[in-house]
This record gives sequence, structure tokens and C-alpha cells, in this order.
Amino acid sequence: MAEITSNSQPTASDDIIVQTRTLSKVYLDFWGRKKKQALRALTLDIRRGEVFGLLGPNGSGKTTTIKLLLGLLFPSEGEAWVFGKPGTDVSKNERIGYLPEESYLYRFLTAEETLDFYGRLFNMPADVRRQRAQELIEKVGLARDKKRQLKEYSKGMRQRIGLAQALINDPELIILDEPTSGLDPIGTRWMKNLILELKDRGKTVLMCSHRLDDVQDVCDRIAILYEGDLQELGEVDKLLEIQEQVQMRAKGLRMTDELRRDLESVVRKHGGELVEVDHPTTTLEELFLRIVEESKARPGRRYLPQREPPVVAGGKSGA
Amino acid sequence: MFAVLIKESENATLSDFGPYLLHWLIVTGTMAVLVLVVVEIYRLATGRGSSLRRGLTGRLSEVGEQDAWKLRLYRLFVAFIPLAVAVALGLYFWSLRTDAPDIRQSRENLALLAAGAAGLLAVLAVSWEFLLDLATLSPRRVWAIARVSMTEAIRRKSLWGFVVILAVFLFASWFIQTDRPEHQWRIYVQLVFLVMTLLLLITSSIIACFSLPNDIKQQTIHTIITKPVRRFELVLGRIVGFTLLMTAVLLVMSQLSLLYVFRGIDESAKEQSMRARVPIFGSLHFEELDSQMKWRPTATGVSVGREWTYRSYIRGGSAQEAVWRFNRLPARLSRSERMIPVEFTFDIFRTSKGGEDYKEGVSTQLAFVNPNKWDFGRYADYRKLLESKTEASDDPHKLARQFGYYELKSPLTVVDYQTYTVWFPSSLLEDLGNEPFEIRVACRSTSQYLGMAKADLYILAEEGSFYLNFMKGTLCIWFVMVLMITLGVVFSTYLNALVSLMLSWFMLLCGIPKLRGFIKLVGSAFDPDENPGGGPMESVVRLLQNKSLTAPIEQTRGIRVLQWMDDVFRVLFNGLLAILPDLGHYTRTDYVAEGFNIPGTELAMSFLILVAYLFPFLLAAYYLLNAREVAN
Repeated sequence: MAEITSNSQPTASDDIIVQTRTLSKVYLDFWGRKKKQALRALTLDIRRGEVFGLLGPNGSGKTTTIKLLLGLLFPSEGEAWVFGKPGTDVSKNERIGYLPEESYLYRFLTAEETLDFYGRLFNMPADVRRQRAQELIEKVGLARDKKRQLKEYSKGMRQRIGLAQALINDPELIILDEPTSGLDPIGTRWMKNLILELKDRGKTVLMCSHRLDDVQDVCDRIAILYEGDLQELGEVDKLLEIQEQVQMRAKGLRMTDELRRDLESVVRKHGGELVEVDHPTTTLEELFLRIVEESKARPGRRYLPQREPPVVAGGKSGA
Repeated sequence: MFAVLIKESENATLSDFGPYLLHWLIVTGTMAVLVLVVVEIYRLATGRGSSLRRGLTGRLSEVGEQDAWKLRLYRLFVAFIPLAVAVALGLYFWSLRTDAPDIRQSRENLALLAAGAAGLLAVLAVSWEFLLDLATLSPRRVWAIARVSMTEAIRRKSLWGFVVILAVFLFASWFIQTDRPEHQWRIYVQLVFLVMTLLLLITSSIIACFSLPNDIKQQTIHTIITKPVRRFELVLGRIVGFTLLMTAVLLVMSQLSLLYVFRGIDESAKEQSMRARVPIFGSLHFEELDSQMKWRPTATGVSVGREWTYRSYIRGGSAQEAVWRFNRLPARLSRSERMIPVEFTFDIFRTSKGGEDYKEGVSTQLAFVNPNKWDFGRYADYRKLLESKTEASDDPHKLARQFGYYELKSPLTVVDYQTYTVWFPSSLLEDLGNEPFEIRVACRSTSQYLGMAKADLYILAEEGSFYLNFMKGTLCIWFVMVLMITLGVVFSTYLNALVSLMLSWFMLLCGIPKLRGFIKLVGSAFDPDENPGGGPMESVVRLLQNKSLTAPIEQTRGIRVLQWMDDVFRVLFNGLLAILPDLGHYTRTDYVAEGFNIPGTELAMSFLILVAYLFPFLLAAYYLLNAREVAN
């Protein structure tokens, strides 16, 4: 929580992309009576080049925070700045890409038309627009479907074209609202890889999700919200670290009683207690992806677990 | 042939621009002042400080040092409003202190100018932020949104409703049966214009009212306004897109309609009706010879007791004449020696059959006068020369030059509502000086009355292109369509789609001249002729007490309270009138149906009135959408 300051003006620093100071949002009914406190005095900074996750259960204020930053909602109290400009300032949007939770795009447009339309909104010249649209369509794997109207697309395809529209302006800050919601494991992995790729290219990513594994896989820092209150803020690795336990991994060994006894004696010698020695398990996601890759590589053949797994590109998780 | 253009009120032309602008500034300025006061009270009540420091919506306070002039100018506008109002009031009270009508009028005019200046300042102050933002709008973004709007309407099959017009074209002729060919044209033209207008307005209003609410409901607006899009660009893009699309539809419809009319009517009707007369209307008054044999002018003729007081009548066989005066006739009329056509259509009111059968008509004489040359004392000389079988009597130009007078050799027999053409020599217009040219009409049939209105007689300056005139009529539908689309989009920035749709139609229907006239009547003060019976509350009392409209009402305290409430109603109804559109400015179907050219200056003025009318609505849309939390 060290980065929280009580300043009421944005910090004049190129390194800090997003700032909120005691940002609050109260939803009112028609008569101006309080309906719900969606966010209470949120103060946080997001730095250039990091992947920042807003974490929390449904209704915790994640999406509200994002909408306040984008000017889709107005704060009841406090302020939000992006690139040193208030949320309601339109000019900041030149440097932002936004993917809403559902891909809210015009379903009567084709993928090409969609990207062309959003390109025009950035005042991009026609040749740049065309080139950028083609690149992004290739990147999100929709080259074969670019002439189809979005109403014919599956949820995953819509999420892909949604991401493409968010990237049309090559933004510095990408805001993703539940980017993996509704995606199958392959789509989820693709999305996570893309977020990491964006990070490698120096982009700042702000994402919100209630899928804890996704956040753990890609985020550098997280903020945990609950019913509008900030509960925790910090680096993922540090927050998850269990200080009083030590984990060890070794290759080329099989688990035997002798090995266990030896390890116990070493641990006891150092004043510790051996809690568990076992073969690690992979995640269900890894297993699923491996089966899909295997089936793709050898069509019609059943998956055999003893085979060497095909390499799955990128990703932090793994056995 | 039957062609009558009913002109109960004059249409505005470009020459009326000044008075209209002044009126607009005062009405819109008053509303702007109200907005400024309400905003100021709201800010002070909610403790957000004065808007004078921050600009109307506070966004002006966000400008940097180099743009501080924007805020300074805003303050200047606001500061000068009370000053201009004070000057206007001062001039007005000053005008009351004199009895000389000319001086009073000139002081009142100055007061109006000062009020107009106050209005301009108020409009500038309220729209300052909007005007500044207009300069930053991107045509490319507006065009992008316009294109998407068009694609949306087409791909969502919103235009399928126009198939209805095919049904009309296919079957309407079954029901159109007329006894006279010239009626055919009128009915066909009115039918196609009505169908085009209705279809276009229904479709336009639906696509305009549902587009933004759909964007908000389906949240597609989120991905748009998180791009560097000014929210007003969204409004403008929608309006431009729908207007372009519906313009294309209107063009196709108008050509199909024209084809339909061509195929539907008889050849004889075509010849008579497919015209675009360019008339020159004069001013009408009536004159009667008094006992000293002097012409005494009166504003109206005889009333024959008809409820519709549009036409005035002259007595047959009397010394009463109807006089049309034409000021500033175009010089091209008298450039070459020729006979200039005059067309007229009169109404006949018979008090007896007399010796004339109904179909025989009424004897009417027309005289054409150059007042600069003509002296009524020389009438006998004129007739003598005219009836002599000399060279001079056969050459109308010679007679006209000599006397400055020309009349038909013998009176014309005129039948009810039949259009006639007579000719007068162009040489009559020579040496007119600053005098107006006169056409005098007298009725010779004793005990019959000839009814006429200003537009019933006109000099036919030339024949315009019929096709062009039809397209001008279509342009008038376009004006109403733009009005409907803009209102629909503007309302939907804040209201939901159905409410926007109902409100747009309510506004449009109340803008029909007859309904506007009714609202005007309710909003006018008690007048024994125009508005007997007083306002709504007084009328209720009269109804309950079973009193007639004209009976005096006892002035009790209760009645005075009710009359005071009527005064409040009057303010409210007049306010409502200022907000409602006046469709009378855009309706010209009669011109096309009756074969009269629609003057270009009227069309230009209609367009300016449309823009001026829509400006406050666009301003409201700008503020409403900017203040709206689209994700809430």
C-alpha cells in the first residue's frame, strides 16, 4: 500500500498512467436517493508497462472503476486521471484501447467494416486504417471470416474482434473488462498470451476479472475489491508468497521411502518439518491444451499420456 | 381550368430575414436567460460555486492558460446581458413618453434592437461551450458514424416499409374518380405528396428515435465514446446518416411518384395542369365612389355572411371596385412591346338568379391603370377612341401610351372558380415612376357579388419548369423530414425510444398550421371578435353558468382569480408556441398541385428558419448527452 498518497492532484510523472484519489461512486435512483455504493474512496496508481488486475467478486466495483476511468460514469466523489487527464476528457482516449466485458459491437458489420469504422473514429487515414485492420485480423485469427457479419460469429470470435478493435490505435493503455469471460480454455490461453505479449511490447494493461487463475497467470500487481472497498493492493508474487514454507523441485528422481527419509533428515537438521514430498500434478488447463494440440498434430489418434507433450507457447503456469 | 392558390398568410421570403432574425434572437435569448438563471441557482444551491467563475457547465474551467480567453469571453457575454436588457427597457419606457407615432415607433424599434442584442449575448453565453466544441469536431468521425447509421438502417431492413408505396401506386387509381380532368391532377399530386410525406416521416422518426437508445441499451455506445469521439459527433453523425439515407429514398420516391402521376392522368389534364406559373401578387384593397365622385378606399369589401372570411366581395352594378396594386414590377416585363397575361379566379355569390342562368356567369370588367398618366376624367375620351374604328383603337400599345389606361373591350363573363387569362399591353408600364401599377375589377351584373382575395389575381410573369417545381415541392417534404430526424435523435439523447417517438410526433402534429392556430387562439387575450369567451378557465365558467361567449361576465373575486390563471395559461401557451415547429413554413404541396412556381427565396428562407428552429434543440442534445452517464 506504499504507493497510496493523499494528493488531490495527479502526480506529474510519465511513469504513472492511471491515478485515482478517493474515487467513489454512488448509484442514485430517479429521485436522487442512494441506491447502492458501488465504490468507496479508491486510491491507487498504475505504472507504465505493468499488467494490473482488479480482482473481486461480482458487484465489488471492478467494472465501475473501469467505467469511471473511461468517463462512461461520473465520480460521486474523488477523481480519476488517465495520462494526467480527467476521466471525462475525450483526448485521453487517443492512447487507450478498451475491451468491454461483452464485445459490444455492431453485429450488422463485418470484421473488416468494424475495424475500419473504429479506425475512422481515431481519424486514421485510409491506407493506415486498411493496413492496421488487416494486421489485426490476421493477429486475432479471423482472416477467413473477415467478410462475415458479426451476428454470425461465436462468442469467442466476437471477443477476438473486440480485442482487435481495442488495439486498432496501437494504444499505450489497454483496459480489459473480464477478457476471458465466456472463452473456452484455448481462447483463454490465447488471450493470456496476448496480454503477456502486450506487456513485452511495453504496453500497460489494466484488466478486471473474477477468474483468479487468469489474474495470477498474467498480472504483476493486483487490487482486491470487495463491496466497493479496496481490501488489498500489491505485487502478485509477494502477496501469494508463504514466508514460513520452502518449496523444492527436482528432476530425474522417483519417489521412494529412502528418498523421503533422507529429505526428512536434511529438513530436520535445519530445524524444519517436512510437510509433503510428492510428484507434482499438472493443471487441468495444461492437460486439456496438451490433448487438443496432440489431436491436432495426429488427427484420428487417441491421446497417450506417456508421449512427450507438444510445446505450448508462452504462459507462466505449468508443472 | 381551375387553379386557386389559397394564401391565408404570407410565406416568409429572404427579404423578411431581418425581422425574423430579431424575433428569433429575442425568443431564444429569453429562453437562454432562463437557462442561465436556473443553472446559476442550481450551482449556488448545491454549493458548487457560481458558473460565472467556471463557465456554464464547468468545463471551461478546465482550459489551460493559453485558452483563458474562452472563459473571459463567456464572462463578458454574461456581464453585458443585463446591460442590454436595461437599455432595451429604458428605450421602451422612453418611447411611451411621446405621443408622436413616428418617434414612438423609431424608439420602439431601437428598444427591439437592444433586446435583440441582449438575446444574442444570452444565446452566445449558453452556447459558448458548444460553439467552441463545434470547431474541434472531426468530419471523418461524423462521416464514420453517419455511414454506420446508414448501413444499420439498410441491413436491419428498416426501409421495407416503403413497399407500402407500391401498394398505393398499384391500387389508388381504383378509388380516384373525378368528373373533370383538371381535378385529376390535383388529386393525384396531393395523394402522392401525402403518401410520400407520411411514409417518410414514419420511417424517419422510427429510425431516428430508436438508434441512440438502442446503442445505449445494447452498450455499443461504450466502444464508441471510449474512442476520441465527441459525444455531439455521435448526435451529428446519426442525423447526417439518416438524413442522407432518407434523402436518397425521397429522391427515388419522388421520381416514381412523378411517373405514376404522368401515367395516371389524361392527356387533356396534363396540358392544363402541368405548369409552374411564376405569379406576381399585388396588394388588394377596395374602393368605392363617394357622392363627390371620388374613390374612397376601404380595406375590405362587402361581407356576404360567409363564415370563412378569406374573400371579400364587391356588389354587382355598383360603383365599387377591387384594386390590386403592384409595387416594383420587374423591369423585364416592359422591356419589349408585348401583351402581358393576367390570370384570375373569383368566387360568385348570387342573391338572385336574375336573367342569368347559373352557368352563364357574371359580367366582370378589368381595367389596367398607370396612375402616373391616367386621369379618370378622360374615361369618355378613352372609350370613344377605343370604339372608333381607327388604327389607334386596334393598337392597344398606342392607347396605353396615350392614356396610361387599358380595359377589356367588353366585359368578361366569369363563372364560379374558373381561371381566366386576360392580357394587357406592356407599354402601360412605361413611365410608371414610383407609382404602383393598378388592376381594377368591377362587377357589372346587378344583384350578384364577386368574391376575391389577394392571391386570386396575379400577373403571370413567366412559366417555370414543371419538373423543377415538383422537385421544389419534394424539397419541402425534405425540410419536414430533417426536422423529424433531428427532433427524434435529440429527444433520444435523454429519453427512451418510445417516449422520444411520441414526443416527436406530438411536436410535429402540434406544428400543423391549424393546430398551431388553435394553440395561438387559446394563448391570446380576450378579444370580442377573434377570441370571444376568454381563456380556458373563463370558458369553463361560461360553460357551467350556461352563458354565451359574448355575454358579459360578472367580475367577482373568484372570476378575477380565474382570469389571472388564464393569464398564466397564456404565458404557458405562448411559450409552447415558441417551442413547437411551424409546419406552415415548409408546406407547399398546394403550389405544385395548383401549378404555381414555388419561389426560391421562400425555399431559402424556409431552410434558414429550419436551421434556426433546430439550433436550440441541437444545443440541448449537446448538453444532455454530455451530462449523461451512458453506462448507468
